[in-house]
Parts: sequence; structure tokens; C-alpha cells
Amino acid sequence: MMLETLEESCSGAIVLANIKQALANGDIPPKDVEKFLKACQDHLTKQNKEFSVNDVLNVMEKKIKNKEFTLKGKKLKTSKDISTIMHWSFAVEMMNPTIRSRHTIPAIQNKVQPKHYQNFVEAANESNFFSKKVCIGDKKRGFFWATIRDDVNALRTECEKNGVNFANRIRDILGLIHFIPKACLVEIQIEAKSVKKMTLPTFIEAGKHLRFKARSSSSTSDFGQTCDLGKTCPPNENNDHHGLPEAVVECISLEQPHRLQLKIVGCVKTLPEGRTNMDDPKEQESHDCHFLKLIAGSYEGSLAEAIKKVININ
Amino acid sequence: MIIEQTQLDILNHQTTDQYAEWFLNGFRDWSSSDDLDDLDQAFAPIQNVLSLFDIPLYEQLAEIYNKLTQTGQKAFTTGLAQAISRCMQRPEGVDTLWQMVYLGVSIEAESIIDNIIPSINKYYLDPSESFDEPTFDTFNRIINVLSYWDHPKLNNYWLWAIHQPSLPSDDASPIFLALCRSHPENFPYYLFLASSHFAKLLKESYFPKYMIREFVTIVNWDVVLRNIPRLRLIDPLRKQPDIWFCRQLQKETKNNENWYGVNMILTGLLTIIELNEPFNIFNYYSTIIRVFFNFTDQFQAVKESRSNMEQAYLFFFNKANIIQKQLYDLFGLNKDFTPIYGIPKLIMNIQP
Repeated sequence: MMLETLEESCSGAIVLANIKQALANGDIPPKDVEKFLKACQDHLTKQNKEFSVNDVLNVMEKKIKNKEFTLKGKKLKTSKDISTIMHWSFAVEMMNPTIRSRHTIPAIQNKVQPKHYQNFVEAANESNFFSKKVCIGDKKRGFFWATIRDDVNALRTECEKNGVNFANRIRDILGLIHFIPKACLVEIQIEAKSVKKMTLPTFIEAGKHLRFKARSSSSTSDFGQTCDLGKTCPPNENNDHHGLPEAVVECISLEQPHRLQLKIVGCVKTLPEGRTNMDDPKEQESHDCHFLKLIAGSYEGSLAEAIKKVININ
Repeated sequence: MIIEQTQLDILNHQTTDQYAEWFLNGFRDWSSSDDLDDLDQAFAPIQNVLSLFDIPLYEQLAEIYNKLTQTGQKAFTTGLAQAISRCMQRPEGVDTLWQMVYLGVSIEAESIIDNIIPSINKYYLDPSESFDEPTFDTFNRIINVLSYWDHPKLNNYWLWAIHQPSLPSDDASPIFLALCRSHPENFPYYLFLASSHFAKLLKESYFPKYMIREFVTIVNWDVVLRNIPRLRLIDPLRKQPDIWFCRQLQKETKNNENWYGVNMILTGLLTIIELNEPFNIFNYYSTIIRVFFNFTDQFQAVKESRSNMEQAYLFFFNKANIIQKQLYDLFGLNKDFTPIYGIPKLIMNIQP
């Protein structure tokens, strides 16, 4: 039932398309997909009421608070350093409070001004910049999203050269649709040797994030690939919407020292995908349907049925 | 963020008490509970609108607040204030209080101010109570965000808090800056109030660089100039308790665009702010005149506005010798003393 419910809207079908693709690629063992979907379905059934596409997506997101379901994709290895992009508030939350005060860094982003960037970068050079109890990544879900550091550096240089807002561009190229104007972003660069576990991301880690795209079957890289929001809109026939490599990485505890570099990305200035607002359900649905077309192509059968052929779920 | 009208209707009709519980339980379950049933109830009926990850919860709730009716907003803010006053009595209080304050500051909910101040006093500033690291972390965050909110009630509170010996000295900088944002012309007084904390911080290598860097972006040169004589740069005992402030100011102003074209000259006895290009000559001399004003009543007749600068300039020129003599007298210098770099030299160079 749950899978059929997802088929009722483009947002749900995006998740189905990603499940189907992950199974087809062999990106994740079918038993792990089955276990996760059954856990979601059990939770919905227990509520004993009709559920909507949104209900399913929300349960899927909440379920990843349980680490037993995440990081089940193919294991990845790389000698390249990685980068993760995060919201200013989360980066500041990770800071040692004394360093935060001493460098006069606002804890909430609507008080952040460019003048604070320099303070932040200088604070990041302090050996005790991070509070020891924190980790890189969300403790609740136990992982963070990452891309290749050199690619981010190259993009930064290109944006500086062409006078393009780097925050907008990195948001788009990494498919980070939830970062809307005023969101100030920070990059953490992490040495490859600090990474304990890194896997190919799947629909499980994506939760209800609706611009995740499973690796295409023709991909030659082990990494996942983001969908560049700057290329998906306006809707056209352009299939070249690939962004940067992506992976999910197990949280890195900062109790032990790691060589990290923090960089300011800046604040996002525009809405993604050429949108006029993010509150309009019709506009949302129209963009979701366009995205679905990009990732599922001309598939005409039932995505739910296709998945059920591979895994055992009602 | 897409929210249905039916959800908004429920929120718009919640009472203050309902909101208080909504915040207390919601923040608790959202932050720490791994139980999906708890998560299903947290912030109902909008729990499915909120994202668990990637966007701070307080920002998402601030967005919800902006969509409520006036009545809904009133209940929301009053309920938040109630939740803040009760929060520290609960086991998870330290983990959730700061998040509620972040929300309150984001939506500028005035009603939270009266309720957070007693908690700061009781759990952070009471000299008879010691606090653990999580409590320190929470209240340090709270002082941080509140210090960026220019509100008369908070400013009154900061005036008291900044000279409390029990205030962790690191918090003196954000509070000093908060006061300067509100009444920049009083910065010498605030510097005086915080002097015991700053005296401690001056032993640390990072201080006062970052505080002054922020200071020069919120207080312009004109205000500083007019108030420099209120700093404790010269006193009968020949001590200069505030000279560190001027020295750092001199360094930071060189790189600050608000202060473009402004040089500070520290003479040891006197601080002069000198204006270079692109300021015009009248501004240049008016600045020097203003420094004189601050040391003697003799020149009060000269107004500071640009419109009568010509008059001021002539006055200044005619009185140059007197001014110089007065300065020498003022600082107890004899006539053989090499002119203090800056003022006397400039006086002698003035041409009508």
C-alpha cells in the first residue's frame, strides 16, 4: 500500500524512481531496502489511519534517525579529500562557545553580515575551534553528505572569476534545494584519511529530499552524482543535468583532532529552479513532475510494481 | 515551506497555554527523542511540514510564525515566553532553552525578554551558584543572540549585567557591543563599566582585536571623535586605562571601509583623528577643532556644522597661538617641548 500511495504524486514517484534505480544498479542490497520499507510501512499501519504521500515521506525521513537503516549503499573508497556544505547555524553550533564569543560571531544567521566571515575564518584557525563533544554530521542520523573538495575549489575559483554568487551556484550544483535566500553556508574540508566509512547515497539517506537522484546505470563513477538545479530548469530536453560526485559519510567525531579547513561559502540570494516562491503547492508539483521526468525518463509502467518484483513488500 | 490552511487554522486557535506545552514538548522530542511516536506528536499539526535535518528548527518555526494571523502570533509569542520561563525546571531545559531563545530573537518576540532575564540571573550570574559546562554553553549562546537584538529592555539589563563580577568575562564583549549599537555615543561609559572584565581579557592574545573590529562597523568615526575626550586617556595620576582601546582602534580603522580616509594619531597624551582624502579641507579642520572643543570651553562659540566652517576656520586661525598655548598649559608642557605630533604642528601650518 505504501508504495502505491507514493505513486499518487510526482513527489512520491521521485522516491519510487530512485528505489527502482538503486535496485537495478545493485547500489544497495535488496534486503536492506526491504527492511527499511517494511519498517516505514509498519509505522504507518500502526497509526491505523489513511496516509498520504507526505505522511510516507515524513516517516521515511524520521526513520533515518535510526542508524540501522543508513549507510547501507555500496562502500566507497577515495584518496581525495572531501567537502561538506552546511548551514551557518549548524557550523556555529559546533564551535567552542568561548571561541564563538571571543571572535564576536553571531549564532543565528539573520544577524550574520559579511564582516563576520573574516572573524569566522580566523576563528577556524584556532586549535580549539570545535567543541569536543560534537561531530561532523548530524548525530541523530549518523552521517553527512559530501562531495570532492577539489571540485568545490574549482567551482569557487570559477565563480570568483566570473562574478557569480558562489553560494547560489554550490546550492544548485549540489541539488541543495532547501537552501533559499538568506541561508548562509559554510564549507568544511576534510582529509580523506579522517573518513572511516563512506558509502554511495541512496533514497534512504535522502529522506524526503526531493532532488536526490540515484546514480544512473551508465555512470562510470562509484560515487553518486548530484542533480544540478541550475540545469534542470527551465524545463527542456537537456539531459545534461549532472552536478558533482556525492557520497554519504559516517559522522566524524571531533574528540580526536582532525585536520579540517573551514571556508565561508556566503549567503544564498535566489530561489532554486527559477521559482517565484517556495510556498505554492502547484509550483512545487510542477517542478517535481519535471524532475521526475528527468530521472525516470519515459518509464510508463507502475514504479511500485517494478519495485515489488525485486523485493518482498505488500 | 508548504503549509495547509487547515494546519494554520489549528495553530491560529491554539491558546497561550497550549503553545507553551507545544514548545516545551516539541523542542524536547525533536532534539532528543529517537521514538518515532514522540516525533509524530512533536509540533503537531505541522510536524510533517518541518524538516528534521539541514535547516535549523528555530528558523522553520519562525517561518511558520510569519504565516499566522495577528491573534495566532500573539498566542505563539506569549506561549513561547511562558515556555522559556518554565524550561529550566525540566530535565532537558539546558538543551532546549537556547533553541527557544533563538526562535524568540528571530521573530523579535518582546515578551520573551522578561522571562529569559530571570533565568540568566538565576542560572548564570548568581555568584552563589556554580554552573556546569552545558549550562555555560547554553547561556553563552543566549547572551550571544540576545546581544544582537537592540531592545530598550535588554539594553537596560546589559547596563547592569556588564559590570557584574559574576559575568563570565568573555560575555563582556558582546554586551559592550550591544550597548554601543544602541547608544554609540556612550561607548566611553560602557568601556568604563566593563573595565574589570576587559582588564582580565587584555591578558589574552585575541583581545581586543575582534571586539574593536565589530565596534568600528557599528560606531562611526564622527561619534568616536566627539567622545574620545570622555575616555580615560589623561587623568591626574597620568594613567591611561583606556589607551588600549585607542591603540586597537587605530589598527582596525585602517582596514575598515566605514573609516576610509580616517587616520588616528596617538600622541601618547592626545588622540587625534585626522581625515584625509576624500574628505574636504573643511572637514579636516573641523575635526581638529572638535578635538579642541573637548578639552576646553574656550571654543564653544564655534559651531561644528559644515555650513559655518569658513567662520570656524577663520576663528581657528586667529586663535591658533592661543590654542597652542592652552594645549601646552593643559598638558603641562614647556615651550621647548617638541610639538606633540599632530595638533600644534597643524595649527602652525594653517593658511587662511
